[in-house]
Amino acid sequence: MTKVKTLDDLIRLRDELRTKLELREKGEHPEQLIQVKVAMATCGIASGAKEVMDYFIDELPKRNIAAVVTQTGCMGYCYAEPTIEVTLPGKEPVVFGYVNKEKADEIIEKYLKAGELVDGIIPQTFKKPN
Amino acid sequence: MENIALHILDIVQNAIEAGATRISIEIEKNDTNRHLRVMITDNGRGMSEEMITRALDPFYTSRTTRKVGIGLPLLKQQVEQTGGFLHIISQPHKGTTVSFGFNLEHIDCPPLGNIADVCSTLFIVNPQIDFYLHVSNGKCTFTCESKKILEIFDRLPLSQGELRQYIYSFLKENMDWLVQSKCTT
Repeated sequence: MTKVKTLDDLIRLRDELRTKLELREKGEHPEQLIQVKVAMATCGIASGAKEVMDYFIDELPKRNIAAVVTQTGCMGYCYAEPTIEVTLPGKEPVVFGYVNKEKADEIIEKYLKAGELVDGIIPQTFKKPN
Repeated sequence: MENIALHILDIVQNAIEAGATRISIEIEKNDTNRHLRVMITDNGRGMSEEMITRALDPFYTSRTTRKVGIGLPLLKQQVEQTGGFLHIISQPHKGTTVSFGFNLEHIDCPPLGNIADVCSTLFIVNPQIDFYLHVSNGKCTFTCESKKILEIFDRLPLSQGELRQYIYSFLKENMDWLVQSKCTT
């Protein structure tokens, strides 16, 4: 248990608990959660996708973001691995390329928290046929 | 690929791609003759005989997004460099078994890597898949099922990060002998 001494500590504690509650409530409706899919095919793994995925898994709860991290296959952007696909609730998925820990940090701070786009987006030039 | 654990992750991803709901990972380390044997079995869509031979061709893939598929050929090259083997057994609609062996003494053998780390990540990011893990070195054996572990924490407000920590320490504690080659339990 972390020390609670100031009001700020209490606020931090509240945010932590709120995220956990949110995670549980929205867990039943995954479409309401932020989804981070890490491409984990040979190309991804060889360029460090495992570390990037672990970074997201460990960092998101620390920063009180209710999100779910999953793995996916290669999206065909092998040259830009590690790649991730982020889906904010109610929005179209966005694919980011060349994601290392620094890039991941930027994506969390800017895109996940504020919805601001960051460099490194791979435009979706094709849509999967239904 | 930096180590053997990452190769396992790669082959498991193939199984997930094949629509598997149950994946078994069996690792057997023989400390006497220094051989490591890994067998990954899934109940995915499987492959025809023709596909099995083509799976080892780097210029073949079942995907449509790109033209190469190097996961299996790369692993085949790595194991054969050490005098090991790679076999694929598969039947359409039944599933696939990929088994491979490394000669750990060989100078070209990649390091083992962190199996507990790879498995804990696999378990928590794929909660819908039933993973069966069996590790043995002849003296010590450890078996676990991801569903049973995840059931314990079911419906608790835990983040993936916390869950991964718990599962990682559980797996690591039980598989320490795999790395150190001595059995305490």
